[in-house]
Parts: sequence; C-alpha cells; structure tokens
Amino acid sequence: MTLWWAVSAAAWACAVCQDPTDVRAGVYFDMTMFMSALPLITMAIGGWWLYRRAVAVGAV
Amino acid sequence: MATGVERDLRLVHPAPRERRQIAPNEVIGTMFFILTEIMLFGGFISAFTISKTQSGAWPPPGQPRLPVEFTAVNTGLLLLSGALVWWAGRRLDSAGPGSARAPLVAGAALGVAFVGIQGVEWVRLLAEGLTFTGSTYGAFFFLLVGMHALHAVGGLVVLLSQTRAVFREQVSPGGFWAARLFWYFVVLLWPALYWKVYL
Repeated sequence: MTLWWAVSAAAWACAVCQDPTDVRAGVYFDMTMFMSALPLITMAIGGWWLYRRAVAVGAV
Repeated sequence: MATGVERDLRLVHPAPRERRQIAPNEVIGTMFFILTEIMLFGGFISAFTISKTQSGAWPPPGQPRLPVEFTAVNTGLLLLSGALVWWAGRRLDSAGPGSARAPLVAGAALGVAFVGIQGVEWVRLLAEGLTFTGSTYGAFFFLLVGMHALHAVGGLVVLLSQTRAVFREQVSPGGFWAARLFWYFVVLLWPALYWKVYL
C-alpha cells in the first residue's frame, strides 16, 4: 500500500481494493498503479531522450 | 542579383527549414519496440506478483527450488556482456571498427554463455518436475524466464550479425546502435526478473 495516498476516496469502492486480506488488496492496488504508471513513465523517458537528441543536433 | 520577381517569390515562399535527423530510423524503431516490450513484461510481472500473493506458500510445497546462487553468477555474466557491448560502442565511435572487435566478440560470447547456462538450468528443472503445465509456479517461471530467453536469443542474432559487419568493416552506425540498444534492454530487464522470480 505504498501508493495509497495517490488514490481518490471513490477508488476505494473498487472490489479489488476491498479484498478481505490487506496484503492482497495492497498488491492489487500496487500492481494497478504500476501498470498505470509504466506507460506514462516509459513514454516520458522516450520523449525526453528524443528532445535531448533534437537539441544535440540543433533540430529545435 | 535577384530580380524583383525573385524577391517577391522569396517573400511568399520562404526557403524550407533544413530537416535534421535526430536519430537513425533503426534506433527510433527499436526504441518504440522496446517501449512495447516493457509493457509486455510489465504485464507479466504484474500477473506473476498477484498470482504469487494469492497462492499463500511460494514456491508451492513439493515444487523444486530455483538455483538462486547459480543464476546470480549467470546474471553477472549477462551484466558483464552488456558492459562489454557498451564499451565496444564507445570504441567504435572513437577509434573505428578495428578497436571494437575484441569487446564486441567478448560481449556476444558472454551473451551466448548466459543463454546456454539458462538452457542447462531449464533441463535440470524439467528433470526435477518443474513443467509449464504442471503448476502455476512452473507456468510463470517458464513464461517469464522463457520470454526473456527468447528476447536474448533474438538480441544475440542481431548482435552477432553486427559483429560480422564490424569484422568486414561494413557496419552501419544506425544498425549497430539499434542492436546495442536492444541488447541493453535484454541485459537491464534480467535483474528485475531475477529479483521477482528467483528471490
């Protein structure tokens, strides 16, 4: 439950997050956050790299 | 000297901006491919983590234990391979193909050794009863490690073809860069899989 602070109160109604055991609910929640953040992080890193390349070759 | 008509045309149609390629096409294509592969492995890792949490005891009773120390050494070989390929790239950029040969051959050889050792480990685990269809534990092990091995083999094929090009002094900078980029992905993904699956 390392990312609990990032979620709205409404999201806690999700059946997955209401799993009877805290450990399982925590893992479900962490994996949901992981899979949501992963594409954003990878695209941000890719975009940042392309921007740096563009600056390096004087294209921007 | 420009005539009045030419001056007017320049005002209406200014010279187009010079287009500069920010990276070779092979590199951009490989980068997007790697982004999709990261999502693929992210999904596998997520499914594995949830399944592991649901099962209670992990590894399940009666299932063979994974060779943690043996694979740690193999992980070291793969990381060394990545470092050597990185060094070969630096040498190629600074001193030409001749100076990149030795580190590239050593890096590719260590990659082949990694895949070979993985194969030996698989044969031993299969003999001990860990199979793809036998249990969730076995299914996830062969799915995660097998998919990585498949990528390692693909990366090695490309890396060896680039090694051949380096020896023939016919290497294309974009192709070599793309091959290195994919190999770095294979190398850097493995410690994450080792941590999740073996530890």
